Amino acid sequence: MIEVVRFIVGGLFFALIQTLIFKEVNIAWWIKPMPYVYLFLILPLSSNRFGVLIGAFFFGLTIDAFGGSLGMHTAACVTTVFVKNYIDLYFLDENSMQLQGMRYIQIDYKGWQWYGIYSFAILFTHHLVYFIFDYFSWSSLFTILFVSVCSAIASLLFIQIFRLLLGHK
Amino acid sequence: MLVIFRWIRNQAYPLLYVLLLLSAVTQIFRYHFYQHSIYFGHALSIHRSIDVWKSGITSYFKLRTTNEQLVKENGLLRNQLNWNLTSNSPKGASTYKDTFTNTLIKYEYIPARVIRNSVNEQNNFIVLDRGYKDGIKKHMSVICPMGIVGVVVESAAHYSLAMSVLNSKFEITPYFYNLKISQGVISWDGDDPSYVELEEVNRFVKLKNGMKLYTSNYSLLFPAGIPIGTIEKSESNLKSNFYSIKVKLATDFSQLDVVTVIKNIHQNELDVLNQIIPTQEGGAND
Repeated sequence: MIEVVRFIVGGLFFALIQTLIFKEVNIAWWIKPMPYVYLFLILPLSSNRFGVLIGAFFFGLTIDAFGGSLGMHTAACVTTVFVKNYIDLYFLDENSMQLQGMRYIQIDYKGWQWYGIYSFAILFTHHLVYFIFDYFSWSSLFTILFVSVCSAIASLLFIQIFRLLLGHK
Repeated sequence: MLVIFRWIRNQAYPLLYVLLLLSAVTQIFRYHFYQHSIYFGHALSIHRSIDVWKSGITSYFKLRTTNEQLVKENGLLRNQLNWNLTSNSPKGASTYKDTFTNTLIKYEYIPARVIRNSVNEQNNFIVLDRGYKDGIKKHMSVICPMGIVGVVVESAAHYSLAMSVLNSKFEITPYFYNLKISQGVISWDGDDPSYVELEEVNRFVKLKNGMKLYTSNYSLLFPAGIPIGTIEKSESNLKSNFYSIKVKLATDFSQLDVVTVIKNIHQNELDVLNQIIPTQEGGAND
């Protein structure tokens, strides 16, 4: 229960950071970082997937309500959580991790490189969905891919800063 | 039912995802003007293509009705043609009206459908699905959108029998549109149903292949100006004073379906006059 409250508070914090800082700061037209996806990276391994899906929906809804982008972040968050199950199947061996006493995904599991690729896969999924709905045009397909990749890399950098600030392993 | 419930229970997670995504997407299309306009623009174009596709299919099934409507409209338009008006009579008064019928028109058009047709006999006949109850009488001419078809020779209550152009007893005098003359007699030799013979055309007439032939003013059965055919081949020799002409018929008799029976409003007067003129026995000639 405490963990749920922690995630709700964390979610509100990330939503505020996103709408007050990252939405307002214009780095470049092709870089729009959304580091709040970090919330999905620190989910416990044993979390209820239905609960996480519904939680992601309301989390996205909150960011949309704060930022006035109704539906965009919600669609991206819901899709990210849904796709994350398949990414996890490819990248993680949950049984092995639990045997090692890991409750969360940590860098220690397979190193920096692995963690970077894993995080990038999730971030890219999120950003891709977001920018697909943002641009919403077939002719902008390459722009969407380009902006998604650049923004995912920027988000990854900001996530590392968060990790350092929050002291996460 | 149980299978459906079991399937829903097994697919609950993807279904929940789809539900939540749809909810998010609905919000996007509802609250974002750009996405809204693009989505509804595409939806509208898809809707239009479905409409076009649907109307293509429905119009195909309505072809028969459309055809019937066109036949009726053709009849109406023919009634409005200049040569169909009695005001074109030598009296010349544009306000002239028929004293009996109180109309300006000379012909009435009765649409009919061919229910039996032959082209392989020596004397071919056509059966129409209209009879004297529909106003069809003996000696009325039959045409189709392509050209002349024949002449009614007998009419029952609901059906009538017409002598086809492809009948050895059928004869008609053509009008040469390019030469502005009416000359000769067209008849079928019983050979090819696409061609008829034109005889008794003076060999000093300057004929050309491809000349178009129409019904003439001299015809007592057909209104003037109905297509008969085109001159395909003409031969002349010094032994004879006449051409031997092969005419390709305008009407494709193998594809007859909807025809129009022409009723001359003043046919009774013509019949009375015809009785005075001595005619040859047999044959329905003009």
